Amino acid sequence: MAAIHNEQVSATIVLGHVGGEVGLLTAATEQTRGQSLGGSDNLSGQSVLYMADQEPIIGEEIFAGGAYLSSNPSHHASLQVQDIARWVVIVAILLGAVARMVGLL
Amino acid sequence: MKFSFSTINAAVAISAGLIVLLGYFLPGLEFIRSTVLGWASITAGFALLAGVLNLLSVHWAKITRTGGTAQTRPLGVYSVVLLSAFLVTLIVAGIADTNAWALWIYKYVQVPVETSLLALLAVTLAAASVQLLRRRFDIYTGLFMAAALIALIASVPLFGVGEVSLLSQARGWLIQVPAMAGIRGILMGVALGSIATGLRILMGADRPCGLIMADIRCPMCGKTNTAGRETCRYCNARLTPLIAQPPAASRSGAEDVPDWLSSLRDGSQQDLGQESSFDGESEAPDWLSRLGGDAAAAPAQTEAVPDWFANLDGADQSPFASPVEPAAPAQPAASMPDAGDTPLPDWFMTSDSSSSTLD
Repeated sequence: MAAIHNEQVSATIVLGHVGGEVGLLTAATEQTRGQSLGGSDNLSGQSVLYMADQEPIIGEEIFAGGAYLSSNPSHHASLQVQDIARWVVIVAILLGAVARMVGLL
Repeated sequence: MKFSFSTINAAVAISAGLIVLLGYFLPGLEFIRSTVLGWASITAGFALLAGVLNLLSVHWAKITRTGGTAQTRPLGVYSVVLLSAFLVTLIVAGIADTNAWALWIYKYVQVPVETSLLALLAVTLAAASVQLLRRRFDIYTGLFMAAALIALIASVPLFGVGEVSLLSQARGWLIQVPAMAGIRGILMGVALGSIATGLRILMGADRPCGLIMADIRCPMCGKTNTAGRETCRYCNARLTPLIAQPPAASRSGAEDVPDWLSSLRDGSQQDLGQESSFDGESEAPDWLSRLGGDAAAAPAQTEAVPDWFANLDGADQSPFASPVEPAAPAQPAASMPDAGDTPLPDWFMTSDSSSSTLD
């Protein structure tokens, strides 16, 4: 936080397995009128970043940084596979719930 | 085929990952999987040691750093505290026979520090919630704030009222139904992203440890080249610009100019833009349009030159003559011999006046 104030940091990017203490970093960035972007795979860190960050990254968006920053086809294909897999999981959950509800499971 | 250290590293990572992954499904690879995991633990231990040494060196450099101004010099007091705490903890945990001193440090130093940090975080989040309402005032922000308020208020008995059963039931429903669904959805996305990232590393598309940052991607074919190459090894396109980038001071100079100068520059650029956008037909002034029209009509009119004019010595020195021939001073039409009272054609008078205009 002292570095953000002293070295006039204009943007703060926080990505990784960070907890709620990241709110102190984003507050320091806000005080210096800088831009903040952050994402975490930790739930408490995500909730704090959603509230305190200017550009929060939710959920699996933290793994889409490669597709944002490069035109590598593997990154775009990876995102499409994630979307397909997500729908597969959703359908599986719904089918399981329906099967449980009608007594098949 | 040329191999580099990055290729070998990627091959080792892919092989280890595949062995560990297949070891969970194939019984024959279980021993190899456990061996590779043991190697990974040793590697992680050395990585942790390297990180600790790097942390110590960075903060030692901050303490011993001299020069610069008071604003640019880092705050060495925090580094002194960190190094002192590290040394004390290392001595207590490594040398002391019992862990009573380590527990004392944990109980009376680390826990109060973490509690103070969380208290500071609570104040920070309260301020951030107000800023969130100012920054993004939408339905999601409203739901987020409403859920947070209900959860906070229902967590403790209200002053003078006690516990409100309705709030407690609402808090329980919020936590167990919508919040749990959101948590599972987020964790499901994180899990899918982790799997996709792991598969990209296994396939060699991503390389950790910053190796991919050292590569240069060709802007033409998109393939990856090693750092330091000037041309792409696949399509021979240039990877580095021919013209050196201007220094940062000159690049940012446009932002430092005052308003009056920037507006003046904009005005001059607009004037230049108007001049450079000359059409020749639609925006030309009258005199230039007339001249252009005469010049365009001239070749057709040269065929209609009368014989008397074609026999004149100065006829080939008309403005429509070949530009290769050196132009001789045009003689006044009025002083021409045999001109008599024969009227000159209009096109000749026009071209004569046009040439004088051009001069």
